[in-house]
Amino acid sequence: MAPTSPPSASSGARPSWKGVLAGAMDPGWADEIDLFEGQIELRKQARIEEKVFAETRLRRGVYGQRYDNGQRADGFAVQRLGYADRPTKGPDTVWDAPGMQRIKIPYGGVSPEQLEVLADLAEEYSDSILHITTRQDVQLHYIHIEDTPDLMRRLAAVGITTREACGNSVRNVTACPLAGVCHTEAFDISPYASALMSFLLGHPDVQDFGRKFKPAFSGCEHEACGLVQMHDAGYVARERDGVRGFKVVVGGGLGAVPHQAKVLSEFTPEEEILPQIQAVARVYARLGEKKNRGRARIKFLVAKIGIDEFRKLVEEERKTLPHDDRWTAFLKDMPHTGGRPLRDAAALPPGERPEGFDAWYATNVYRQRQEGYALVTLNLPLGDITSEQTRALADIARQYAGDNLRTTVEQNIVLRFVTESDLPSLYRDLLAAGLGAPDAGTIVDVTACPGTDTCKLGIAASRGLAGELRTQLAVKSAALPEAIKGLKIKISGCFNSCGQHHVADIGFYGNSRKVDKRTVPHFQVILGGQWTENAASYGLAMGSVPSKAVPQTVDALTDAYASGREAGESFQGWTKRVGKRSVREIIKPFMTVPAHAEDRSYYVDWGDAREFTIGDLGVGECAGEVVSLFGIEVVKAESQAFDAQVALDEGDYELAEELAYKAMCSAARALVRGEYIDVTEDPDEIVREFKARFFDTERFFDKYARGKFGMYLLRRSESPPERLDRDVAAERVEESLLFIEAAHSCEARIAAAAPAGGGVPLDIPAPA
Amino acid sequence: MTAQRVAVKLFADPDPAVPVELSPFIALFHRFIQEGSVEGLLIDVADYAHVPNGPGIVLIGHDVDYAVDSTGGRTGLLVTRKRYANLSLADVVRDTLRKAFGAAVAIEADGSTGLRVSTRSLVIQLLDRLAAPNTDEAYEAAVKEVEPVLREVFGDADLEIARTDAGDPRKGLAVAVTVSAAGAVDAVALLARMGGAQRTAPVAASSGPESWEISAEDLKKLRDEAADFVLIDVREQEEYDAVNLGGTLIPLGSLGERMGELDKGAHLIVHCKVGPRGAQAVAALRGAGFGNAWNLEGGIFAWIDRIDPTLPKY
Repeated sequence: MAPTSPPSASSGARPSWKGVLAGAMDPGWADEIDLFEGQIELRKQARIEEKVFAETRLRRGVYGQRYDNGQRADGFAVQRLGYADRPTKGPDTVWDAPGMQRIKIPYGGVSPEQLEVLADLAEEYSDSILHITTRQDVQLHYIHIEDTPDLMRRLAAVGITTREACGNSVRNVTACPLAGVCHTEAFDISPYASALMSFLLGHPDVQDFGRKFKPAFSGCEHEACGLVQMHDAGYVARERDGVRGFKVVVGGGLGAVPHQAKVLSEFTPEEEILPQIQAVARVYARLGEKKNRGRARIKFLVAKIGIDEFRKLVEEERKTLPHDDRWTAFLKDMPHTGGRPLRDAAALPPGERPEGFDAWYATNVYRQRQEGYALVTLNLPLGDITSEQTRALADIARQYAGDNLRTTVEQNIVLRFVTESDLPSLYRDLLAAGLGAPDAGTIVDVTACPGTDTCKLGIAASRGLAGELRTQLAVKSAALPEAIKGLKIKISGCFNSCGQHHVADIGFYGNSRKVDKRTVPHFQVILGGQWTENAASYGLAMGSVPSKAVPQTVDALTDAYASGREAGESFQGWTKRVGKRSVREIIKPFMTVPAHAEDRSYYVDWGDAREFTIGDLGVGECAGEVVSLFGIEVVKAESQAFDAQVALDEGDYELAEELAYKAMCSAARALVRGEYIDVTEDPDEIVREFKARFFDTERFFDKYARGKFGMYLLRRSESPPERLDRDVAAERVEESLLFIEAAHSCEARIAAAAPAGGGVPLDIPAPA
Repeated sequence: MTAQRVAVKLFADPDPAVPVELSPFIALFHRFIQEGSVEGLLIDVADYAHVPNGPGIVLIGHDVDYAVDSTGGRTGLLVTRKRYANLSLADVVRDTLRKAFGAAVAIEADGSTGLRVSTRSLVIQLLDRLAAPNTDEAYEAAVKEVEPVLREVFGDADLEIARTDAGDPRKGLAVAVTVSAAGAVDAVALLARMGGAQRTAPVAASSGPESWEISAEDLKKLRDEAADFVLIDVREQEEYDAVNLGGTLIPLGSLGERMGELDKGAHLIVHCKVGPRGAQAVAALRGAGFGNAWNLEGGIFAWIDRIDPTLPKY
């Protein structure tokens, strides 16, 4: 599509993007945007219910953002935003306050022309920053909702829709950025990803899900690429007797309780993938949980009925589907997605290289299957790129790579089909644009979700920490041993796994701990997740360290690994061999928090200047006695949970599951003991007392998760597992960790409400 | 011309090519939010320090953003007016310039960041490709409206007005302004000339003594969360004996001499009977550097009325 030239400035009345772009948009998309604009108007006039409007805007990728300054001016008292009315946009956010716009980029494929429009939008409606997400989307922040219809029109004019970028719908279809140029793929999966995305977009069978649904494609089984094992539906390319098809897996996912996907079919021929996913969608829409959001992802359905039963239902459903030409139409006219080389292939000639080129070449250049061509990764800091840089990138792409750009799940952008002999001059041009950072895909290239910066669920500052780690590691990158350099660090701001911490060598998720009567930002350390084999195994929790001690913790872990590893041993292999107990000893010295009077920096999160609080999150962590009865009792739960992880690691699933259940019981008992000191250690009694005192009264509930974590214990108590495998045990272990977290929060809320005195006494004597 | 999203960039003085340390701006901008030091409904601080030649640290407002921006390798204070209103371009530019000068004055008065900006070198960006595309025609139309405003602001100084980025139609339309040394004045004077004050009435109730108040409901919430604060009762001993909230008694008269007992970094909530003494105490505390002192609006009586009617009034 040709860019539409704006009208002349002297044309009288203000023109509109709607008018200017009328002919350039898909008419269906244009109508949807008009409809949405009308709904915004109705919402302004309070003629549409907030709940209805919320789902409407979410389905168009329009999110609420967190404004802690509206809610915690200085980490303490509340300064309310000065809006005339205060309807909420999600919990505690004003609906017409600036928010986030998520823009779906199917399989990450983006053209120079689209990049230019994105750059314009960021400049005119946002803060000149485009953020690449861990699912290959682009996000713009601080967008006014009134600007979203024009923003969507300008995107629609270059073939991008934000439809179903959020909400209980089919989210962006992600895919390996190497597709089409990779050495190990069976074939280029991009056209299939594109076809699946188009087929499902707005499809009537995907409108009634209880929760979101994320598909992913991978060209091969063994590399990381598509990360299909952690997706709701994953596709791995396979060829059988000259026929193209896919191994299809379902029910994977990270989130609070990670699941590895299960094999739905070892081989689905290409003409069957669309009807098959339609059948999956119908089964999921019909049988998936709708009321309880915490159990609504397809992974819970697959776990509940078992993959065999699920497969049978899908096969039966498939037979009932009325024929649809679109199932196979794309095969006759395969969408052009792979990209064609812009220039002739040519090897990198020997000779003078720009300074820094060799280090950049080593980490940022991948030699394509097509000889003489390379794929080049732009290592974007925290996934951010400015409008200026984006325009420069569009120019660079046009000069060296044509329309071959992809966003990646590691929050970078890649150029494809770059002629190798052009690499030195490409490198110079990238450097000039501030896009020539080396270390792509290394320990320096830290991935992080938005965390407390803008996300309402964030607990600790994942981006602040990522920025700090990146800065510290970049300086010493050249001197790092290769083994360390190759590690991956991924950070989430909370236990929801948007930063994909489960599949990193060293992962972190934000939590908080009460120390010295204050709330201190912490990160749980997750070690030994596996990125390769499509994210084939997840890391396990080792304990929480304060945010400010994370950089030292990383140094200690990487040093220990570098000096202790056997030849060729992976980080995952090393943690397994030395064992969780020994690794925990390495982390232990960093787990303590100095007293407030001694070092206040621990009480302030990265990238902030104010003392930490999660008051704006609504969880209400708070002060109490230095060591309460609960504090003593809960230690037992934590050590049981740790032992459960060790047992899981050692393959003793029965023991792991049992210990995890015991850990939950101990945490529940710690709470109950606060009120009923004589409660026995009998699990049934503990559960009974816990249910009556804390669950039924909703005292255990927090604002967002409600009873989700409490249900982990009640469900396990009511129905012990019938079969025990690694998945069941791993799930229980994860549940126990979350249950213990929830018990900490609950205890904090209770302690807060108890004393009548209020306020922390001064050290000066108060009058009697 | 109707372009309504307009940004003004005031370049760093003396040399915009020298990078500035960004981290102090995080604390400064949070303080601006708390104290309402610059115009606009201020809501957040965004940290882009990790992005080379990017927007740096941004103080986000509903209607205006303030950034220590180094786009193009030139550092400066970038002030972006974001919301539309039916104003002429001249009015929008005037408004944005005033906000920019106001922010420059506030940043320089604070001094903690070391940033100083020049009032002799600025760029006005029209961030609206629909109404103000980067064309010769639009540039001329824009200058026609902007120039009188610049004359009005810079008085008799010689002005050099030029178009930047004419070569790249994709970029926003921008007008670069250079003011001759002869007629130049500093931001404080320019602000005064524009009828602005460093701090104008903020949209949010976030500045001045009235915003140093917290409600009885908020105090209840803080107590429920067992938030970490010190409750100070500035009434007299007899009043305290009649009814109290368990705070530490420091009668207003003795506050001055007992301030040394208090921690400047701590959160202090002060209350009296119905409010005025508490307000005086908070003003005194804030004046003495207790940046986190708050007054219970309506005093202990508000607490009794709205939170705990079982307590006796006196």
